[in-house]
Amino acid sequence: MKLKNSDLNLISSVLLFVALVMIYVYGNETIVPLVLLIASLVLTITLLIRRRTPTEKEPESDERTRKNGAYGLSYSWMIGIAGLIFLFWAEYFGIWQPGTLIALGISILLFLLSAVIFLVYLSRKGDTNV
Amino acid sequence: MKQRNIYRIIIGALMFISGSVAILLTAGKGGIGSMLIAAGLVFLMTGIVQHRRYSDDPESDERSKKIEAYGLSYAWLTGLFFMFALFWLDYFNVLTLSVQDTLMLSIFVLAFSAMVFLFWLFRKGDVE
Repeated sequence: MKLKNSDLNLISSVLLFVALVMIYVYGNETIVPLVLLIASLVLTITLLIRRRTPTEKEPESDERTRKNGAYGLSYSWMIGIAGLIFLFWAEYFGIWQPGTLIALGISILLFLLSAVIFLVYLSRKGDTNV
Repeated sequence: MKQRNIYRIIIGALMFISGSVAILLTAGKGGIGSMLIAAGLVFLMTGIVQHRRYSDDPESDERSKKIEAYGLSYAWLTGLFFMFALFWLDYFNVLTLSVQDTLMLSIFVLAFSAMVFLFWLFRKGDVE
């Protein structure tokens, strides 16, 4: 299944709309709107990146971009697991004690953000040479 | 012997010794000692095993690096889905865990799925 740019646009708009409605209805009570907003933001960034590369002549993914993706996600995995371990010990020694939802939210954000950053960096750099 | 393996063995031995001292000094209390011993043993074992297996040959090439990248990126996906599931289960009060349990489970799922994917891909030989 391949998502077209217009589909992505639609999904991110719906997410944004739901988030805004939830903020309007529930106010500050939940962090669900925040999560939805972030998801919508990530989709928008993906959309922007995809817009910039002409898709008519070039296929969307080939050997090189898939390799970039794999490397980007594996770097993000390392950052993420280090962050999780850090959070765990911070909680264990009582340095900072967030709630479960906050801790999970931070970890998910860390994973998504570092993945986006690495993917953008690698795709700008062009190729991974390790 | 490669520089890297020497460092691994030295760090492992130091951590093992300081862990044992910590356990002796605290009379068996506290998690720090056992943690240091476990980490030190891992460093020691890695150093020794890598030296015995490869000695001075290169440990990885283009293919194995690619397999590692793919394996870790599958593990990334698995872990992210798992954490999303935990988040919503907690949010709707279906399953509420403590922070420590949640983080421990997430770390375990991330590491274990990485191990499984890497093992599977190395058995398979290549990613297409």
